[in-house]
Amino acid sequence: MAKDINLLPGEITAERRRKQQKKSFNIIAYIFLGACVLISSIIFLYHFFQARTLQSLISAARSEEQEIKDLRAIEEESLRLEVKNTALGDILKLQKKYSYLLDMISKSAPTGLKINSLVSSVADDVQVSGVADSYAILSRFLINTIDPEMGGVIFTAADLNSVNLDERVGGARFLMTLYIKKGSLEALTLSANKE
Amino acid sequence: MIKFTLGNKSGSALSGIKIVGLLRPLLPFLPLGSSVVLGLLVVLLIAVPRISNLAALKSEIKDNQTKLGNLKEKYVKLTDLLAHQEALESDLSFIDAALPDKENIPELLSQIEKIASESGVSIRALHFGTGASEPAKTGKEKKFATVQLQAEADGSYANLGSFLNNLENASRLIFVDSLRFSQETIRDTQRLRVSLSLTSFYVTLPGEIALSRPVTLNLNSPALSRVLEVIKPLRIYKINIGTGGAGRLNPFE
Repeated sequence: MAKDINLLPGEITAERRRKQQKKSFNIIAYIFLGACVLISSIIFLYHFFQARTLQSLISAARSEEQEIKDLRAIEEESLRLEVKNTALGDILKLQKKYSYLLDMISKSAPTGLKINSLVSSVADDVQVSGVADSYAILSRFLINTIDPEMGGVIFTAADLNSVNLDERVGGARFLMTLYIKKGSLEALTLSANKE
Repeated sequence: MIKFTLGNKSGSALSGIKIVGLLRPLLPFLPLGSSVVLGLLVVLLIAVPRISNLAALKSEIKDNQTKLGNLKEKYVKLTDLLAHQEALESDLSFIDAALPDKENIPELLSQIEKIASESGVSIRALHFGTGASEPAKTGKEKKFATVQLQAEADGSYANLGSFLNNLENASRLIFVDSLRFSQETIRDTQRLRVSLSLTSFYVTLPGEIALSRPVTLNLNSPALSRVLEVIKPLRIYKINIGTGGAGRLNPFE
């Protein structure tokens, strides 16, 4: 029976295997080193270009800021206009046209009625006191103040608080309260100008 | 190596031989080890610091891109406004007259006196007290400051009515908060007296404009048109302060 004879001594085979292993290890080592260098280079370049992008953005923003600074005068004017316009939008809503209130009271006052005092405060009412030649005239005044063709444009109601016959003046002294429609005097600012 | 191992029989030479003997099996792995170490060093010194900085860098780029975008938008708007500077300045002249930057109390009082004299009304008293002006508040609160005044005037009903009407239509806004009409008899003559609580307004503007502040003004906005529609017809009362002679030896005389 034939027997396999190993012509190469075991040491030589082991040496070859070691050399082969060493070669493989070296290849792996170089691949690893190459990979590390490659990855690091990619990251380095990526970072470098990102940093350059950032620098160019910063310098572009600086130059834009300088151009905006050159337009500072127009910017200040536009801001002034904007701020004041916003404020005026709010302010004009607050305006009460008291001249219109006087017109409405004049329009509603009948002949034979004299107003002595008129007080209007922030509360939406007007206190009116005066003398009427007769109760009928006073009654007419009360009706006129809430008539939609006359005082009713701005007054919602009229309350007679007191009335006394005064022989000295030969008429009825009265005190009344007129209630102003909410927003009727304020709204006139814009509506009157819209016409 | 040979010289070191054979020529010296001291203890250190022996230990050197031992170390060399121990290291010898590792020599084939030297390229592997040095490559790994070198590779790790490259990664540690080049890649790692940059990776840790990358997120911040990206966010900084994003912020700067947004900033640049906003600045470009602002610049375009400002150049557009520059093209319409004449219209802007014309609008501003009306707006400034209605709502000045400062209290301008003397000018305000002069305007009221001028309106009164033109309406045939005599001003009996005109008060402005210290602390009567309310400073501007920011945010969602008031965007303006007020000046509170008290006035007393005599005249006929028609003239007082005209006074009120002229006050309401004066370029510098003066609002009547409350009024009190009363009849007074002075030397057998009946006079009508009116006491008024008045409010005027001003706006204190921000001092320094931040570059990042966007320009939101639109000259064609309905809000601006509405305001201009109201204030353009208002009458401007020119108050001549005059130059006067300045410099006196004794200002008490």
